[in-house]
Amino acid sequence: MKARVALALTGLLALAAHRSPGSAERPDEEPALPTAAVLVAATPVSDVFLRAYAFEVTATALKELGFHVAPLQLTASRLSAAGRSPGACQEDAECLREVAAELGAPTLVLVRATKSGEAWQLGLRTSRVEVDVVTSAPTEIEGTVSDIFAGVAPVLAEELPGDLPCVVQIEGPAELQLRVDGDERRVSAGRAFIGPGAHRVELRAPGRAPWRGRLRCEGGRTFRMEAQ
Amino acid sequence: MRARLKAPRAANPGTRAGLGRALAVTLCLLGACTRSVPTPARPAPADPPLDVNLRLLTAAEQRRAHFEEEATLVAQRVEAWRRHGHGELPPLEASPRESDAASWPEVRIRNATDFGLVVWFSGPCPRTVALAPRAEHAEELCAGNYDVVAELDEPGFDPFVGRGDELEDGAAYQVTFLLRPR
Repeated sequence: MKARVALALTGLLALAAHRSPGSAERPDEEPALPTAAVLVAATPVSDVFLRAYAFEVTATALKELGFHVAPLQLTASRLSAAGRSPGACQEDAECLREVAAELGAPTLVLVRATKSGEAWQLGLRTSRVEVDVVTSAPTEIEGTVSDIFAGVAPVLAEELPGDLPCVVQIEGPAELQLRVDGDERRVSAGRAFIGPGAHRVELRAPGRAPWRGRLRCEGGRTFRMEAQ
Repeated sequence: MRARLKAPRAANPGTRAGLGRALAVTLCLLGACTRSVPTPARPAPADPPLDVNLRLLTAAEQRRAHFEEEATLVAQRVEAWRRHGHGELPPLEASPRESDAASWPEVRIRNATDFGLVVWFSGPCPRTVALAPRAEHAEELCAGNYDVVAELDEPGFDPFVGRGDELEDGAAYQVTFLLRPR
């Protein structure tokens, strides 16, 4: 039987309403929050709600933990860019590194979502991208939609706090070379990742004397290096 | 009997050395001796230093980096829905919030159906919200003009598409999705 959706709209809302945390309210000039990306591989692929809901519950938990989360459509477009399959990318460190660089998100949450009727299954893993890509063992959450909603936050709360990697976002002339603590660091999509702690950084360009400085990575910050 | 192999002699080494010494003495007498008074090597022109400004990314830059492209992607999806069969979403109504007129607009979505629901906000702070059956969600968005689209997780329902809802600072909005049999 086909039904129709009727919509009731009212303009009044109590001030005590539950809000989606961290959506857009951070003051403009404050430092950016640590950035995370949620990479969802859904089965069936065509299930829009499954993918959006798996993203939503994971992103909400990440925001509660103080992250800025790369938005859904942008992440999905990067994950399914030419030659990439969302499921295969989750198993490929090189693909994860590229997606993390394109989104400026060194913290990744890899979600495999499947649904059969009322039964949901979510496989959650976390990845940190620094010199290497380190991925945790999967945690499986099963049950109804409500079980999924309740199950994601505790998993992420256990895995993600602690020392987060940072992003170095580089802008300037072509052929810039970044060295961190003496080692050349790969720059992809104008970004490189560094681990927590104090670092010596050096930026080189052909025909220019190198710039040297120091930075301290803490709290998953994003640094911007503007070279001229 | 062993044959003795001799290394070939250098051609007149003594003569060569003597000529070299004589030439050096001659040059010294002419004032061109470089051995005792070396001329400093001319320094290579110094490379101009790379000028680098290292700073922390701001929250505004972080949002802008993600939202600009997200806005384009969501707008493309909304436009695709608009071209196909869809229902019309009535405009949102707003009322001022009591406490903070400068706060960002807030939209509360209530899914009163037994199906999953995905709501798309296409505008300056684009957002995709997914709600479980019978769930509620409140979302803060920056002020501006939004196209809103709602899609139920059930075959047989066309998406509902709105057009041009203006969300203002300090205002709150609410939308409830209900199913009524025909």
